[in-house]
Amino acid sequence: MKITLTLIAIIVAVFGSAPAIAAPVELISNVFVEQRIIAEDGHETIKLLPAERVIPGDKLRFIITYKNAGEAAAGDFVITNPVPESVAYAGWDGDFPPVVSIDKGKSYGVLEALLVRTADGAERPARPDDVTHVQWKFANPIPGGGAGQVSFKAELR
Amino acid sequence: MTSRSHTKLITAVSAIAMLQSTTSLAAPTGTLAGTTVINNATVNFSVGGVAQTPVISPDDSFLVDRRVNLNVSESGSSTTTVTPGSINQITTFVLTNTTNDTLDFSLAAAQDVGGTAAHGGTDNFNANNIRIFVDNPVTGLVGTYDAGDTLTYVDELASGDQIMIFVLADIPLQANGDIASLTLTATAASGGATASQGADLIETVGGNTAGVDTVFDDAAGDTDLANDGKSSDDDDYTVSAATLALVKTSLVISDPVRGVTNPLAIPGAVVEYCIEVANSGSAAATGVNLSDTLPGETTWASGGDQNFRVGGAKALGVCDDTGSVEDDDAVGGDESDPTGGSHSAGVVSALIPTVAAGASTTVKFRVTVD
Repeated sequence: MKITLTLIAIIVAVFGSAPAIAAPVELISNVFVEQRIIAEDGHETIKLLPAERVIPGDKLRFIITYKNAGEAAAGDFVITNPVPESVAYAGWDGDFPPVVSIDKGKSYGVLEALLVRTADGAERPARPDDVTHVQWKFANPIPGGGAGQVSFKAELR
Repeated sequence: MTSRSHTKLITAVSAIAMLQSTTSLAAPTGTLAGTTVINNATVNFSVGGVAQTPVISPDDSFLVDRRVNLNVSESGSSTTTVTPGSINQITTFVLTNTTNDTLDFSLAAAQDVGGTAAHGGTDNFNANNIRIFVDNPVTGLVGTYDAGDTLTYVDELASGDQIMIFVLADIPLQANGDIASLTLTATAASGGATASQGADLIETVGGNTAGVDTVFDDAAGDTDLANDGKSSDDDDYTVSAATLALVKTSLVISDPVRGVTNPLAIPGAVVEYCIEVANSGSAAATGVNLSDTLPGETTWASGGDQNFRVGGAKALGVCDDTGSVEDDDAVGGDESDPTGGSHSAGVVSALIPTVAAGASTTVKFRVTVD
């Protein structure tokens, strides 16, 4: 089924202010709740609504917006988002895959490569809901004035 | 369903007992309502090869709202078998709170009006004096109704927990196989304080409010709709009664002219009456007292003659001689066995202690034609 994504909330407003000198990089986290709308023809649309009415089982989208408000390039650019305890990570979104941690940020890797040690000493492949931290490591510096978004999906436990 | 032998449920209810001492064994179903979920991200970066102070995003938080979900279901899967006239007959239900919040629940029982009963058959009578009591999971018999179960609403049921609910009713004098079906409905109510019944919850309409909103997310029950904050299920009482039928036949034994050869019912003839008592019900009839007034044109002719017998069988249309021999009066050695029989002033009486379900027994005696 084809899925169309519509951003209802406009991620804005935050970046209009005076340039921050001490911290030329600005970072904003926003959470949205998915609303699935299935049209009569079966075409499914997902709307992202502000996370106002949220109940267990709801699908969430965390969107982190970054901006280098300075003039110099920001290198070694790494965004880290600890997954709140009450939500279960459900995969990344957008075009920039993150690495994830299942050990509270001690180590990171792609989810498919991570193993969870079970109580009986065996190992099993990590599941999305094992993820404790999500991290995006940018290969290239963010030039002055550069901005963008990274995103991950989650479900309220 | 009767309230006996629900070991599993008793175990489950023990968890609620624990809850009231602030420990719950059942896992809550989902993040509890009122929880604030806070998210923030951190960016590490360097400028000109020099690591800079990491920047942390402002907290982005949201409040978890209340998803109301509950289930009422009959405990067990069979009808409650009752006898006519019995009181305080119990059907048992289980309420499970799968809301992400501790809630009270108001309870109501409604008599079904006709229609297919919970376990088949058709509802055809109403039980009397319907009462609802919630199991006290701390004291007394836990999981089984006892006098300590006095609460008429569910108080402070934690997320993921369940509790048993007993419906008591009195059964009118109904016939075998009659069915009274009833439906128990639980309605989610605000938790509030312990030992105080909260108001029924109302779904938040319109937009988000600053506080915890309420969203109904329950399935349709027997008599309630989906997403109405209610759940309902039916159960029934089935009457198990004795159903007695009498069949009386007569046979001319002898007459004064022909003797026992082709005797006719002429004056002086001996006639044997055979009364068969058959129980086609599903319960034993006990203490059956049978009395028969002799026709005015006849005279009692039994008593001490081996022909007044109670408790025998009927074979080939005739009462056999397997019954207990009775004499005329209601005293003496013949009354020491379970059956009794006597005759007084043209009325024959017989006492049969038990006629089992599906069984029959007989009374036979002789008269002469006046």
